[in-house]
Amino acid sequence: MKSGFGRQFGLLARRSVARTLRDPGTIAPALLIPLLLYFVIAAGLTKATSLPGFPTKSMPTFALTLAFVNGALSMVGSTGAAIASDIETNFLDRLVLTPMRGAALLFAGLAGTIVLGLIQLGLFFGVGFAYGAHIEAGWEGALVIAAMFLLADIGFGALGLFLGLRTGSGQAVQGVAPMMLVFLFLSSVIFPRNLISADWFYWIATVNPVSYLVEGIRSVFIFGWDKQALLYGFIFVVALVVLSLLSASAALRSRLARA
Amino acid sequence: MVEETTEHAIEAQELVRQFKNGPRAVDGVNLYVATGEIYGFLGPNGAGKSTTVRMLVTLLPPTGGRATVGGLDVVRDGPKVRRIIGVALQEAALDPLLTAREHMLLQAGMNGFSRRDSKKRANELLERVALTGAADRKVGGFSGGMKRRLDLAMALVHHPPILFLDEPTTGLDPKSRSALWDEVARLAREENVTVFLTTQYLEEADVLADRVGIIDSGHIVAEGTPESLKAEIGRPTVEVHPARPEERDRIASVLSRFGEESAAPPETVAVRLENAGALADVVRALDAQRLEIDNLSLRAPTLDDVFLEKTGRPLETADEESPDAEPVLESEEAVVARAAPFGVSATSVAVKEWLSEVRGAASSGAAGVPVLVVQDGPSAGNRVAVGGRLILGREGVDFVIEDPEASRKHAAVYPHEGSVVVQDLGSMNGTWINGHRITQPTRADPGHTITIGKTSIEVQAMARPDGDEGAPPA
Repeated sequence: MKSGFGRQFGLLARRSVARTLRDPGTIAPALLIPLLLYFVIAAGLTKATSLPGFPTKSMPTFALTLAFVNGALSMVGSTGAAIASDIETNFLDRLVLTPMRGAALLFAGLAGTIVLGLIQLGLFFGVGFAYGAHIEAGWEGALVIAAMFLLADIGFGALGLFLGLRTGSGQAVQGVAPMMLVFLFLSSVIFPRNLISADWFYWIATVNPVSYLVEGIRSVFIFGWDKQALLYGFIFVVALVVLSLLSASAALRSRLARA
Repeated sequence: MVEETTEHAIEAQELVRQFKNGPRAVDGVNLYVATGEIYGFLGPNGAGKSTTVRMLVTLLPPTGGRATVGGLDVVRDGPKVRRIIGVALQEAALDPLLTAREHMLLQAGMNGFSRRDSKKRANELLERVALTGAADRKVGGFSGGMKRRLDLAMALVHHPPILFLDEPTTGLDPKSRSALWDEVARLAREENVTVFLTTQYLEEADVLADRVGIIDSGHIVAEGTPESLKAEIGRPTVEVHPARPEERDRIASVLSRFGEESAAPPETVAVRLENAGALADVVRALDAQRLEIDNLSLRAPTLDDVFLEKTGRPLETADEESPDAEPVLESEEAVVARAAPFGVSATSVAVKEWLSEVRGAASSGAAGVPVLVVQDGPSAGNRVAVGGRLILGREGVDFVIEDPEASRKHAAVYPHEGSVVVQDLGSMNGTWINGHRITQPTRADPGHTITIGKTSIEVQAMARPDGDEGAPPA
C-alpha cells in the first residue's frame, strides 16, 4: 500500500494544526506578546505623533504594524520548536520509517503556522480597529496586508523549520528565537527611518530586511498605495519564503541521511 | 559466522558503525535471524545494541559491512526495507499533544490505509494493547507502560513480517512486561513474525528468545540458544553461607578443593564447581570438618555467567532479574531436582536434611525476610518484601516510589540473613544507607534507613520468610 503526497500532506497538516492549537507555549508568544507590545507602544508613545515628519497622527494605526511583524517573527520559535521536539522525541524517526515524503513533512509543518497566522490576523485587526486603528487603503488594503503577513509567517516558520532540523534541539531554537526581537527593534518599527537621528541606527535599519516588511505593511495602513514600499515588502517576504524553504529542505535531507 | 541462506529474515556481515571522532559503536557484527524466530540481542548499556538496530532499520547508515532485512540491502533498498518492518525504538516515539487514536490513524494513513481501514485497524490494535479506554486521551498523560504499548501497536499497524523492538520493556511494571512478552510470543507463534529484540534483561532474553546474541563493546561475544549458551559454561556454582561468620575462611578453604571462587554476596562463599557432580562431596567435606552453615544452594549457569565468562565482568543491571539467580531458600524438591542433572541425586537425602535444618532456623525467625517501608513522599507507607530490583520513579519496576527527584534510579535489593543487601547499579547517585554512601553491595539491617533522592526507606524485620508483606505496593 502506498499513500500519495496529498494524503500524506493532509495527515501531517492536520497533526501540525492540532498540536499547534493544543500547545499554550506556541499560542502565547504568537498572540499575547505582539498585543502586549502593541499596547505599550500605542499607549506610551502617543506624543511621538507630534514630531515633525511623523507620518500619522494615529499611534494605534502606526503601532499596529509592530503586532503583525512581531507575530510573524514568533513563528521562528514555534515552528522550529515543534520540529525540534519531533527530533528529540524520535517522532521524526517514526515518520521516516513510514513511506513519508520529505516535501509532505515540510509543507505540512507549515500548516499549523498558517492556521495560527489566520488567528493572528483576525485578532490583530480586531484589537487594532477596536483601539482606533484604520487602514488608509481600505478593505483591499487589508487583503494586501493579510497576504504579506501570511507570506512572512510562512517564511519565518520555514526559517524555524531550518533551525529546528539543523540543530535538533528545542532549546537551541528557543535560544535563537529572541534574536528575532533584535532584528525587530533594529528596524524602523518604532520610528520611521526618516526620524532616526543616530547614523549607526539609521544604517542598521536600512540594511535590516525586516524594515522593508515593516514599511510595506505600514504603508498600507498609513499612506494607502505606496508601490515602492509594497514592492520591497513583497520582495523581502517572497525571498524569505524561498530561501527558508530551500534551507529547510536541505537540512531535512541532511537530517534524514537515510538509505 | 553468518550462514549463507535465503531463509534469513535478518542478516549482518561485519557490520560497523564508527562515529565521527568517536569509538566504533558497532565493530564487525555478524548475525542472522531466521524467519519467524525471536532473536534476543543482549548486552549492557552502551554495548552497541541500539546502534545495530538503527542500522538494520535504515535510520543510520553503516560505515562498514553489509546488512539485509527480508533479503533487501539496508543501504540500497531503504524504502523497501521500511515497508516490511515494524519498529519500536528505545524511547517511545510519540507526540505528547496527540491522542492515542490520532497516533494510530496517522500511522495507518501514512502507510497507505484508507480512512475506513485506518479506523478499523486503529480500533483493532488499540483493543489488543488494552488502550481502548484511553484512546482519546493525549499521550502526554500516559504512563510509561501505556506509551510502550501504544508504541508497539503503531509498529504493528501495517502487518510487518519483521519486527524490531529496542528494549521494549525498560521501565515497565511486571504486569505490563509480562503482557508485552505474551504479545511478542503470540506474534511469532501465530503470525510467524520475525522479532529482533534488544534487551539488557537476562530474564527477558531467557523467556522470549529462541536464540540470543550477547554483545559487548560493539562485538558479539556469544550467540546461540539460551540453553546452549548456558550449557557451554556447564559448571554450576555452589553458594554456602556460614552459620558463624568466623568460619567463612575455613569454609572457603574446604570449597577451594572443588573449584575456583566466584563473586558472592557478603559473608557467602561461592565456588564454581570443576566437576558438576561434586555437590555431594562438598556436603560431605563440610560435614567432615564439622562446619555449621546457614544455607547452601546450587545454582545452574545463567546468561550472566555466560557474559562473565566471555567478557570477564558481570552483566550489570540484569543479574538481579535472572530467573536462574533464585533465592537461597527454595523448596527441597527444587534444589534436588536442579541438582539431579549434576549427579547429586544419590545424595538427595543429605541435601534434604541440610535444608530442613536451614528451614528450621528460618521459621524460628533467624532468617526472616525483611520488608522495605517508604517513610516519606507521595508513596509513604508503601511496603514490599525485597528480592528483586528496586526502582524509584514514576516508571519503576517491581517497587515503585513516586519521587520525581529519584526518577530512574535503581538498585538490586536482595534478602540476606534477615537484612537486605543493596547494590548500586550505576545510576543511583546519592544512595545512602545510614549516612554511608553505597558504592558496593552494602548490608542494611532492620532499623536502618536507605535514602535515595529525597525518599527514605526503612528496613523492617519480618518474623516469617513467607509472610504477607510480599504483596505489591499499593
